[in-house]
Amino acid sequence: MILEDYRWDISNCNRCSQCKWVNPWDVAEEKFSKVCPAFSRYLFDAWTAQGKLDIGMAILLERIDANSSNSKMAEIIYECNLCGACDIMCKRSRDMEVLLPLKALRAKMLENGKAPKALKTVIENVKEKQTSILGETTDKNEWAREMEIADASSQKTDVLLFAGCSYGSTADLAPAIRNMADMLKQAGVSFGILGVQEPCCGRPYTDIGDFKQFDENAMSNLKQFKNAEVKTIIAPCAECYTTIKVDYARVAHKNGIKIEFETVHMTEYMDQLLKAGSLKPKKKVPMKVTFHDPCHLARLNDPFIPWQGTREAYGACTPPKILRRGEHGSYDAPRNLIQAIPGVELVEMQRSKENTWCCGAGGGVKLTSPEFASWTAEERIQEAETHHVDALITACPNCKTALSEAAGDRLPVYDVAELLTMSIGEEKKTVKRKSKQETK
Amino acid sequence: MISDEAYKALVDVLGEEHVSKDPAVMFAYSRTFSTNDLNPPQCVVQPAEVSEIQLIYRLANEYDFKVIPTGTHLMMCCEPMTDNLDFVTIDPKRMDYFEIDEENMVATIGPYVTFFRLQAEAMKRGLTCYIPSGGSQTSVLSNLVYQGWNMQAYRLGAGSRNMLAMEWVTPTGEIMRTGSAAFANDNFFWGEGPGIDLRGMVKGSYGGFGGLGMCTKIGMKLVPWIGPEKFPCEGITPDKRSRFPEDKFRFFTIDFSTKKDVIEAMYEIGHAEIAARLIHMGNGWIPVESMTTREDFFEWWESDEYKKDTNNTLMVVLEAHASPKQLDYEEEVLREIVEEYSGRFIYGKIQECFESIVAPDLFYRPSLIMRGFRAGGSFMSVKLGLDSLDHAALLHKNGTKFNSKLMAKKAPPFLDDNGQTAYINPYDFSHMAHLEMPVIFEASFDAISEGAALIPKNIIEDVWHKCYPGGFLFGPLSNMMGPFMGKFHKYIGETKAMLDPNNVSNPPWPILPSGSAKLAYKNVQLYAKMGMSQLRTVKAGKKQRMLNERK
Repeated sequence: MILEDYRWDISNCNRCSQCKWVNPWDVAEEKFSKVCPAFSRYLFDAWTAQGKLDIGMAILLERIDANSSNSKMAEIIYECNLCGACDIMCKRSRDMEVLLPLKALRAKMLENGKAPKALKTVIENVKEKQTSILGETTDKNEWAREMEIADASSQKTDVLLFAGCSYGSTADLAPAIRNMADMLKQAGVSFGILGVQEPCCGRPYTDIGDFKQFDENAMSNLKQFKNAEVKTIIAPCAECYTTIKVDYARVAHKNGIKIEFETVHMTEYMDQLLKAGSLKPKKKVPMKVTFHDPCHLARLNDPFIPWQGTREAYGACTPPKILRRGEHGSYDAPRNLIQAIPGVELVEMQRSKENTWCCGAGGGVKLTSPEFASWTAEERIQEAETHHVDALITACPNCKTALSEAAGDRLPVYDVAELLTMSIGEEKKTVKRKSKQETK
Repeated sequence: MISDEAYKALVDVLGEEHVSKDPAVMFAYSRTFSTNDLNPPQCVVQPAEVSEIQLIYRLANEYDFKVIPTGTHLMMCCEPMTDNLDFVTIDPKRMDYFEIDEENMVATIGPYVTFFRLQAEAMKRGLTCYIPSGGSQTSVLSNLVYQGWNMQAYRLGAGSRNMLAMEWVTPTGEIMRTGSAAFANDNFFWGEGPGIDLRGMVKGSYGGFGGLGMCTKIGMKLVPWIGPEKFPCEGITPDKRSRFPEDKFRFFTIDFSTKKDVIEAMYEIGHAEIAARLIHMGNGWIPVESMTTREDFFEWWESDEYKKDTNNTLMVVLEAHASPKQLDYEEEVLREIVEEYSGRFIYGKIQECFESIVAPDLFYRPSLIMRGFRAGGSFMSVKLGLDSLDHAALLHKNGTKFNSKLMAKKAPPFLDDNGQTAYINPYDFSHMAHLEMPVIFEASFDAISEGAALIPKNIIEDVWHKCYPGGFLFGPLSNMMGPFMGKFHKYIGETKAMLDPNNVSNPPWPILPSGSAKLAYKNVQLYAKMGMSQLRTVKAGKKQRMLNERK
């Protein structure tokens, strides 16, 4: 992914500023009408997609030194959640890529040694410990202890529950993944997990801009999935979900590999179970809630569509190039699940579905600019609070963590599965970490 | 590069967080919608209050840097147009305050308020405002002090009809307030006076392009809105549809056999004082507006079916402000007029697209300019006129022939549309109209230069036909047109000299230095050269051609 590949897209920016705003047709009140967190926080245009495309143009035309130590260029480029809002809003009226050039800018910064140290630390962690979670972590078997779940690394299982680094390595999130696993079991789903063999999906490589390493990691993981002969991968983490579904498909296509499995998000799988009658939320849960669409479940969820062709007169492509524009995001599945719960009233925030406001955690921002990440999450909590809800519901562990930290005691934040559990079964207790003596 | 002293002075006024000369930050202000190069300023500032803007202009006079006031930075006057000078761009993002006085139907607005935000809040109160086709994401204040042309103008008028009192910072850092803001304690409800209306001095027809200081607050009229509190729409971006309540809104697309018929029909509709929205839209805009991919656009553009149906299309919306009976009455009158001029109502795909996408977009919450970019990558309006409907029709006829000859030679990157993307937009019940002839082309610096070069060529043509030419480059090209049009360029030049003695406010806008045709900036140098040589040719042959025409 190199910047030069996007010269055409970058040169097509006409500075209309749509990348900064929610789709105007969806705006009912002015307060929550901005869609780009970086623009909202930093105000200078450099932090917007348009501004970064201008910087990209300046680099391509050698009007600015990409290696400059006299500029905040790298900081600006990495102070971005890669949430894709700019990309989708631009494609409302234009046929050009926005998110891909922003990622290519990161690759450029990495090439020039300007990538943030914090992200390099994550990469080292991924290589060494196969988790993107820094600090104190649990091993990826821990959450499933005593649950008698098949080991997909040694047995063939059609369905693989890919917990991901957040659910798999964070003790506080373990109850949520245990609830999900329990619900699958109750619904009669036979599935396995990779446990300590579960790799990181590779998202941190994208965050830093190391697409070569990402591709290598993806190939290795694809091989592992192939060996396990899985037919369905269920990902409860929206980032893992998009990474495997979309980015691995790109890598597979590039390497002439056929993907023999389907990737679904946990909410999509549960929605299927709900429709089949295998999940039956019966207990009343009298709550007024609103749903925060994770970016990766929503507008970043369009499948990878291979294209090879030429760009001809007026920029038209032959054959036509189908752009990923967020039209096929998973907007209904989580809502179906929420609305199936007796007693729950679901209200929509203005910035919902394709207009969703990022939780602040994406793009590595939580590590590179924690203050900005917190600010972004706080904005979301304030938006939810205007609807006087009892809880904010989401469908991604990173969103849940970021929003919970911002909300504190003000507003509970639950995963969709946790809400379902209230209506279906009993909530699992926190997994107690084994003491050093127990692990010996 | 801005001097260290000037930079420090700006930081002292605004705080370090709100001033930047970082090269990366500068390049984010180096392009506009029709830029043919990267032209970054030397510094960007983000003031929050009018007192800070006053200080910025005073510092400009003291330290000899130039100031570019911007809104959402779409228009080309937001880029530095002169080499070898230090420009400081005012980015007003911290000035996005607005207030709605529901009872008096007035909004008071700061420089960064965008149209859709204002309209969203107004709609909750049963009010709305005009929105230009530049898009609802553009700055309200900037558009009001620019030209304020819009596609709701048949009923709502141009920007000048909608602006009320103003607060203006002059290039010497003084505050000028007009209308009620001059004496009524920060109330912007009334536009005229006191005494001579000074809005004309700084705004006039086209505005000062940032060359006469900066407007920092403005009052704007709001009008009644009978639709729902929330803009009606469904679907997922980009495939959104809008369904307006059928008991209050009716939409019609009508085709006529000749341009004369459609113009006469527009006059009659205006005379009958019916319709809430009316426009003669070049049939090229229906696929532009409706299609969600470039490939779909070209598929429809090249289909015979589409061209057969829409040659001289009129788009009409009726609104039931009084009662459902009003809708029925207006429709009856409309049908009589259509029959009189042998028009026919269009149904099917074109009407469906008009009702659910095109009309909501053009007439209620626009994004025309952005959709216009999809087809080729860029577009530019190379011919503009602002006079009567008849004048618009004349310009359209001449412009179609004239531009087609030029574009046919350069297609691609230009789309030879045979005038099909032109539109005639009536104002004030068809008492006035503007014609706009966009040229669609594939975006590149070279194509943009060539597209822009069509503008002075068209202006010369218009002057030749004794028409009032429009032009986004009104400003440097005023020197070219002025001699034919009451020497207005001298008046503007003297206003500039009076208000901005040190030429700090976005030179060379709004006019070249008085009496000078020498240009110090590369972007318009080509245009002026072409214009001046053509002007000499025109002058030489003018008398003879006029005589020939009279015979």
